[in-house]
Amino acid sequence: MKNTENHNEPKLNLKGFSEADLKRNAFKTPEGYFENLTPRVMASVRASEQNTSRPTFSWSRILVPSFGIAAIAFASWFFLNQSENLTPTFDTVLASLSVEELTMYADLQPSELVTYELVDYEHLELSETHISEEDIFEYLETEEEVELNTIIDEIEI
Amino acid sequence: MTDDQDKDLLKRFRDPSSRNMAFTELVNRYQERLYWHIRRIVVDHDDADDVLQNTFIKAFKNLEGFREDSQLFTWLYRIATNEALTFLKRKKRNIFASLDDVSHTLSSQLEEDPGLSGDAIQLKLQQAILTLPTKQRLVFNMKYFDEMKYEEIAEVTGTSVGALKASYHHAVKKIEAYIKQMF
Repeated sequence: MKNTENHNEPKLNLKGFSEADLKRNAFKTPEGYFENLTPRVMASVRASEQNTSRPTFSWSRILVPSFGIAAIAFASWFFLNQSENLTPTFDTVLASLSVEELTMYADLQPSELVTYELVDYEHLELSETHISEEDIFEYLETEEEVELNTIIDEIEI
Repeated sequence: MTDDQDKDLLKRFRDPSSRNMAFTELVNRYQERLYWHIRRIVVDHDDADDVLQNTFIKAFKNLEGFREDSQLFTWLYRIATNEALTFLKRKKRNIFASLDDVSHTLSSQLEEDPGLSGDAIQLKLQQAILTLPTKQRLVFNMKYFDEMKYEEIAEVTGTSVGALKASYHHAVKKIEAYIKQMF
């Protein structure tokens, strides 16, 4: 393997230093390093061969995927739960409103419902107490006719 | 080791009954040369020892598939070089520097290295080599210290002979300039 191929190649030329000086090994190794190297290398080779040929039991092989699955399941549950919480329900909206806001709403948009809600039942007095049974039946019959007529009209249209 | 001896060794390695003996012989024959090749790249002895062990482990795992397109020793050099450069890349990641910047770290490490037996000129020569770009450094080491032919270095580095010649030429000029500046 000695190089004899080309005499024209550049030589390292440093005045005052011979090639032997320059090529002398600058590094040293611990004593007896090379004597013990072959058995050490062969031991490493054997150890690596055993590691690759014999799969050993490892908790991490079971635990790592398990933790992964658990994490995905938890994340999914958490996400879905959050999504549900994000959709406001009537109760949550109502709970978030202050009494002043509710009062203001009631003042601005008076409705039958609100009026009805505000009625004090205990002190309710009917002004007309002379309504007979006939009046009631007459009223109900009239209402039924109106509804039926409305439905028929809608079908014809 | 001649090609015939390599062929014989490979034949014995492929036979399961003589595999371990053949590989022990291979380690025994090439360990020292590979160690010095790696040591010149990684500088530190312990690092060189680790890289050498990994080199032989890789060689053992892949020797059966060695197609004999190249010589056995250049194939081993190739593994050793790759392992040493991979080691430096890992080191680079730890110090957040480029592969060539690692040379500066290695150069200062060289000054403090108790494992350096040479005198001032050898220290300066090693420092000068470490200033070279990685590929030029590899080429210079294999050509100057290991006295390998360009064709053999080409098998190791996968570079054309022409490019290697140019690389070596530049390396020599840079080293001379660096050392002249020092003395």
